[in-house]
Amino acid sequence: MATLDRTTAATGLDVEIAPGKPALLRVTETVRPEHAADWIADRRTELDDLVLRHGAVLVRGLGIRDAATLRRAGERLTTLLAPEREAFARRQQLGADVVSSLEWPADQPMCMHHELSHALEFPRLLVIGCFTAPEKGGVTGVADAQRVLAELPAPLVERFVREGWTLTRSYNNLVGLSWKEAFNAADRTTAEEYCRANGITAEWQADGRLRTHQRRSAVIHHPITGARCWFNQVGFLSEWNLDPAVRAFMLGQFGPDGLPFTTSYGDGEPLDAETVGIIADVYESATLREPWQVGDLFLVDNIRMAHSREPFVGERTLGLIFGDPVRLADCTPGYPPPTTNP
Amino acid sequence: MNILRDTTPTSHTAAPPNTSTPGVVFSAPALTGPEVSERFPYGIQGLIREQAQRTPDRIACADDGRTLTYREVELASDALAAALLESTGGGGAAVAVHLAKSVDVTVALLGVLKAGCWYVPIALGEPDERVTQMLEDTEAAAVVTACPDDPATPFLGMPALAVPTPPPSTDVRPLMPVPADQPAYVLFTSGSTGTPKGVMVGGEALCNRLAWMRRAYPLGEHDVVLQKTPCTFDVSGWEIFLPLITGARCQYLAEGGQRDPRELTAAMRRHRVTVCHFVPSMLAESLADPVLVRACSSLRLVFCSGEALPAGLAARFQRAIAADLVNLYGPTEAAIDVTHWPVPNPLPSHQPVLIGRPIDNTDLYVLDHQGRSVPTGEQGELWIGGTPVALGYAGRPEATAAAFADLDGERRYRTGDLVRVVGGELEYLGRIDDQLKVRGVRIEPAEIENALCRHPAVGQAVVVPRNSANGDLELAAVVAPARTPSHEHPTAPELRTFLAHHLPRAHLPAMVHWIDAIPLTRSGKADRARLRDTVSRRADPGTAPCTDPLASRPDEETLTDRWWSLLGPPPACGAEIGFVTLGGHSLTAVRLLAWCQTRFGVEVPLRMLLDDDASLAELATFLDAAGVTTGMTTEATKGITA
Repeated sequence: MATLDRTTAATGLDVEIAPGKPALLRVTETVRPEHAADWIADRRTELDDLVLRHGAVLVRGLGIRDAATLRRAGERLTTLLAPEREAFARRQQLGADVVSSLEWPADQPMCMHHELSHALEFPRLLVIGCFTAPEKGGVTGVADAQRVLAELPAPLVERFVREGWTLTRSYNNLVGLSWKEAFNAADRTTAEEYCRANGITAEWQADGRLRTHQRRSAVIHHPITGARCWFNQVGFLSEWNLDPAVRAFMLGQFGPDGLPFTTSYGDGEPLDAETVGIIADVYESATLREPWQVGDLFLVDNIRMAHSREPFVGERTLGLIFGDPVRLADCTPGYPPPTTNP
Repeated sequence: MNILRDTTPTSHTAAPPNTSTPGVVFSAPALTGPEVSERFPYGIQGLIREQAQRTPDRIACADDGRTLTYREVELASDALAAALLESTGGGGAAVAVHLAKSVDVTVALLGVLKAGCWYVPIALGEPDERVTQMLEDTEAAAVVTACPDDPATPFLGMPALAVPTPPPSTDVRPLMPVPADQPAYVLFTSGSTGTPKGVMVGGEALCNRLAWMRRAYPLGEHDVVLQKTPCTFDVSGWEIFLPLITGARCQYLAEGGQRDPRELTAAMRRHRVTVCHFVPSMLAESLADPVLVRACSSLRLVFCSGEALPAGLAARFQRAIAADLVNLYGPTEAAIDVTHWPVPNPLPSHQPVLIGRPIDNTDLYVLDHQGRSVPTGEQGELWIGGTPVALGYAGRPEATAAAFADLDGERRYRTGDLVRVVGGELEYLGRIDDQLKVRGVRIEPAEIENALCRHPAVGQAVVVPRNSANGDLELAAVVAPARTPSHEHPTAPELRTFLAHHLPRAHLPAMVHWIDAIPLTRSGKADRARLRDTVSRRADPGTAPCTDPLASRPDEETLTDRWWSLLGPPPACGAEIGFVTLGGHSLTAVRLLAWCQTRFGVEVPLRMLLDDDASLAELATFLDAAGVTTGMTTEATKGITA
């Protein structure tokens, strides 16, 4: 049974809080889509508060069904961030500053992750609109990174706090994005410059492949609340998240160091399946889910909340805006960020 | 209603005493289960009512979208029972249940029983012809379906009911007493004469089985039982009802999810499952997935049945998962399971896995081919007597008479399983006939052979098992052409499509091998041993007299299935169109080729699909060539995927 959050009720926005579900704000009055942005602008402070308090708020009833409407709504809420860099799968551009969710097979889940937690700058706010809801599944789950941090085994957290985590990518021309796409670089020099400026070690292989390492803080402080959050892709980009047959095949094709991406402890020591399983378990127990309805608007604090995508059947179109850019250096990272000269 | 057509209209007991097995004399049973005199005047619904009164607001069952409390299950099934009583004219009839796996199934089964009826689960996607036969055999009087306004073709003209949503809280309706010989359900199983047989199991047998399990392996309010098994298999009976008589929760896995390690992983994690069932071959597959194993940390009790449980697998389970393992045994003809063996932990290295000792009110006989008891320790055929024995096969008096014997007023079932008694417990040794178990599904080769022979181009057909590339058992059909040479050989996919109109998916052979004539043994029977050799992986299948290069390859149809399941429905001449042209991208390619590597032991370069845009036909040719030149064996495949 959903209960009303009385504190926010006082501000005029009634949020439903139900176990296992994200906070849900039902817009009860009739708002025409062309007025959705104004409705949001009038309530920006309250919405900001709700996102800060709950980590994520699903706004239902504004009927935002296209990229242009989403963008107008998004720009009333946040500063828009430049296009994504260092992606690991493609997105489609749905309109100015609005991209699709990652292109990923519909029947494969996408595990919990934070947008760009492997980069030096990342969005704090994600503004997500549901233009087409799938027939079945496809929930964008969210998990509170403060709670995840608290529930992970202490020794595991200590080591990651001390050492950070390392992402290793190997760019080939077959699976995953090419380095040209990932770094938005036309040539090697541009790619190398990007890497230098962003604390990424780049090694060119004899066969022309590029391998990169980046060591990042696994735990950071939220730039507004100051709360400590488990903020990384250690689980998400781990090779242990691959289907065992797929992992075996890729190792055969690309060699032991050639997986398109994998993660390790900060010092480079490999993770085992069990550790990755523990992280997945903790995420799972913290996951909040609410099926999408067309026109839903989901505001997600990308530092406070990890998000996932469950398998789905049917058509699913989400528009996504990266807002409110934050630099890693401003989040008192547990493991210091690389010194760079941008 | 007369279901066993040779019995009196008011009785559901089995066929007349068996006279076709002269000389069968039952001496003392080899093993006898505990004598328990518990009565079940209100059937399983009575046991559930008792629990529901204790814990009305606890969650009884849940699926991906919905949860029902004990009270809601009671109220919804009461409502369904009332509707069924009306549409069947007072109950006492079989009712088909045609539903996807969900909490609706719980309500439907319980509603059917409360109406004084018995349920006949029918799988979604079952061929129409087969469904029609099932409805005829059981004389089903109504169907419970998700779409009563537009029921599937075989159900046209029958009263069709939807599962009601729980009505607003009212009082539950009083239960009707259940006659002692009233059936509870009819489950269809493969028949050696070529048509499936509907096993009719009585309510008392079901209650006896569930009450035994509740006592032998108690569940509590913190237990979550995963409902994994399709409800057309008897294992689902305890998965659905045991939690409901113990205050535990039954968590439904989505339709088909039992075969998908990722679905299983997600369900284990999300719902903190404590109790579940695995067919051994599925358990082996699950243990190979470290992420799934990790997700099984909440399990405390795992039951295996459906196939022989290898000792190595049991030991591997014990090393990987900190849960108790129990091996169960029982044919559909005897209320789910009749023996149990808690696997000792750790399993001593010389210890064979047993099927154990009988459950409550069960007598087990080990007999030789003349029906005499064999000395303890010697092998014989297992006969089952006592409360668990089924009432017979619905609408099939001859089949009932052949498999069941009535002696001293007691019905006994002849299992066809070879066993021996070791230290007061049973060891399973194999089958006395050709019956097979493929991924837990019981299959009579004759059923498939008969279906194959209905194709005009097929003269004779023999179905034998063989090891698939990953070590599982799969079915191979050896077919000889009809004498009239007017028909060209249909390709393997064509034959499979033909079979799919008559048989469930699990019965479709993975391989079709054409041969001039079926070799015979000296006694004039099909030489199955030789045919097994012919289709085993060591043999070169290229000798098949088949003009279609794709159809001659044993695994073509499954490769084809895989290809199109990843790339969408095939266009015309689809096998000639390149992977990328069809819209395939790199992740799809990786998944397809990872599957090829596991399945065939052949590593195909990604470039072939992504750079060279190879078609399905080209991929098949490549695999063919690789298979012949590299001589990849099952062992090699195992080495790669281990």
